[in-house]
Amino acid sequence: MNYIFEYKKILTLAVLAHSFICKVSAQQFSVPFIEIPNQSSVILSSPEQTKFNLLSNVATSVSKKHIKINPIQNYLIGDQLTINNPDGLGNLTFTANYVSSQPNGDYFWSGANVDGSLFILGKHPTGIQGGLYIAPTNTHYGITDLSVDKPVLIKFPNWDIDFRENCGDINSEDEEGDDLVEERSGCESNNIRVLVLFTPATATSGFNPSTVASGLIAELNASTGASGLSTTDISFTLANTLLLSGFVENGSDAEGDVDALADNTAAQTMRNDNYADIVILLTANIYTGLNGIAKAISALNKNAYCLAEIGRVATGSMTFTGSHEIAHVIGARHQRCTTCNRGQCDVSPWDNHGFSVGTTMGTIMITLPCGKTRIPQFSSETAKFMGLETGNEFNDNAKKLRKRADNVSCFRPQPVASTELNSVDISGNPTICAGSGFGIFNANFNTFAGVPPYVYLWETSPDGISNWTTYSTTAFSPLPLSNAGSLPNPFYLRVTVTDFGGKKGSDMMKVTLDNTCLDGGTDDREGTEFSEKFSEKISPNPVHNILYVQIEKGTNKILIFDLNGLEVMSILHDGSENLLAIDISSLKVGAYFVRSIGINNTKTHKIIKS
Amino acid sequence: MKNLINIILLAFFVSLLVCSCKKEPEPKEATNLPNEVNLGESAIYLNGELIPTYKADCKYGEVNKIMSYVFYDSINLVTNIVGFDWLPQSTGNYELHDERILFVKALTSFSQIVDEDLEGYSYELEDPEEGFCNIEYLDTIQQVAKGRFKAKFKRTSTNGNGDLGLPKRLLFQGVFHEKYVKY
Repeated sequence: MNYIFEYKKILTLAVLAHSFICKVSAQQFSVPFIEIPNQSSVILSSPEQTKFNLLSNVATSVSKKHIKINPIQNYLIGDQLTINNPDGLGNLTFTANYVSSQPNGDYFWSGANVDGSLFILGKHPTGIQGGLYIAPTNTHYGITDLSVDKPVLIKFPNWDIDFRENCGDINSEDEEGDDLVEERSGCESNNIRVLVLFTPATATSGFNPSTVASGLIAELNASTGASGLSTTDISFTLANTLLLSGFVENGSDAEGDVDALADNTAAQTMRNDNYADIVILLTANIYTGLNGIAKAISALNKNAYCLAEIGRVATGSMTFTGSHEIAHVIGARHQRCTTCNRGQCDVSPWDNHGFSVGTTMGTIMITLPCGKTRIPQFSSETAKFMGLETGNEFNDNAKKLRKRADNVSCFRPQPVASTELNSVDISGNPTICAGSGFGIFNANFNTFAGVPPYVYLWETSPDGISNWTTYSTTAFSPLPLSNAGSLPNPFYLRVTVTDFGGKKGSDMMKVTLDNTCLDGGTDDREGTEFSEKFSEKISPNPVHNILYVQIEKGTNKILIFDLNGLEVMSILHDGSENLLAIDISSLKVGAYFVRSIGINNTKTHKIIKS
Repeated sequence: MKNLINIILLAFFVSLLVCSCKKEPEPKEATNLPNEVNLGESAIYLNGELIPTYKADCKYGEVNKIMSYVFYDSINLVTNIVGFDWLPQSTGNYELHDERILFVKALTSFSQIVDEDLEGYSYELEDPEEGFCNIEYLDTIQQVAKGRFKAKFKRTSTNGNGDLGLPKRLLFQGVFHEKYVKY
């Protein structure tokens, strides 16, 4: 996710080298590099004053001073430049170790003092950005502009703020060493298998996860192809589309959710079972401030997780958010909002790769806040879009994807395909409470036996032989079966899985409806025994407002019924072992049944609301 | 004797190190919070100062039946987000926590996003017992919520970023009155 420059180290090393090499040739300019008049001597226009006031609201800025900057076209590497110390503590001299300038007056300049002080400045058509760090006093300054010709120096407290260059070192961006990359493990494939997971909330979002997943893979293959890469350079395959049962999205913290995804045991198991190199989670929530997020830009196995809001991944949304996040996982960087060549930096210091396609478009890796339309291509030195350049020698995400494909494709081994779809197996609780009539059933099978997408046909029958009635046709497993109370008792549930090529596999399960499970425990098998144990996990009883339920691992739902069997409260749970606090203050005084529904068992106990 | 001198010198240097450690200043607390605000005019304070640019993004997840009270501030390409999540759709004075446990307390987080999907500074919840998230009023028909909160965060990493405009410690206080959306 992040692009880190260890700038201090680089500059310090560079200045030590240059202070030796350039001792003879270095020039000392008598003209001060920057002047820093008092704030009061600067007349600000209304918009400048507004921006100035806005900066005042930034919690870290403790003082601001206007600065003047002299032209530096003639400054060369090794030249020493002097600035007036903003604190009035005399002058500071910096030796230039990276200098570039353009005929139009734009430039990038960085320099360091042997004491570790640093000075970085970039001028571009729309303003100036940079920073100043004074080592002996550990004082940090930032340079930004109130308008094109009104740069302002902002002082920050002595916190551990690191410098980051505005533009990035374009030349080194495509070097293998600038990201963390794992060694290959002997795998020769460039085929990346993507597991698409979706949250329970996504299932009701109106999008079909399987369709979205297939569209995403097609989009990745088409966009890498359009970027000049062949299928032997890189290709993508859908490993599977699965529900990540119990995953609850956080409304605000996307970072927290992607971390939780990477730590989710079920997700890891599904990744291993499906030989997936990358996992992407589709969410229903539109996270505040973003549409998707990747664990990191790293091409590291442990970081091969990302998430995106399903509506932004769907084909036709034209946001390409799924491809964007997956490309981050492989190593692609953000594209700048505007064209950025040497010394001509973007307004945002965090966009550091690629450049605009024409004036209104950007590649898949441009960020949406840039306000440009994404084209279905990655930046490339060779691949044009509508006759327009999409990249160059130094800005080439396609090249990076090609370099990293072999690493990423080896995160998991390639599966060995089977020719039969004969391993379909239904799992789920064979006993359903007649009152709630609710059960969850999974169709498990070797997904490598067939070709996705799969179609699941769920049918019921009173005898398992005849009168099969279609209950549901779904694009994914599991099946949430409701209103089972209206079915025969017992009934047979059959699932038939059909793959993309028409291969079929099937399994059947006998399901019994439990008419006694609402009375608090007359059933010896499940009622009394389980309720007694379950009762120890419910407190207090009688309860007034908050009911605490110690729930076991695998529990995904808590239901509360009144004495008439009417469901009065339903709480979904993420399947983890937890103490759940349920606010039942809204319920009327009386007796109720609390039902815990898990993957393998269902438990009920009577409570009294006082 | 030599050992004794060594011990004295060591103790001296250790004491020097200890004395030179600067204690992080406590973030300022706002004391003049309004009792109530108009709909859509929530007042969010950071380290004692009213930050008028903060907006609300409150949501109700219908599948998991969870409320999220989110407040965010976007300046240029940096978005600061403070959120109280995984709460039931009911009023109450909720304690803060940072574990992913449904409904028990308010899952409280602060995150900083740079440029759409890059990680800014990282913070963790600090002194949760001093904070709260009090949902004082909830109209589930008009989808309106009122409440107030207080939460402290401590920076755990700059993640290699330069200045992103926030100090090491954050104290958020807020009085809100907002509509929420369903998803």
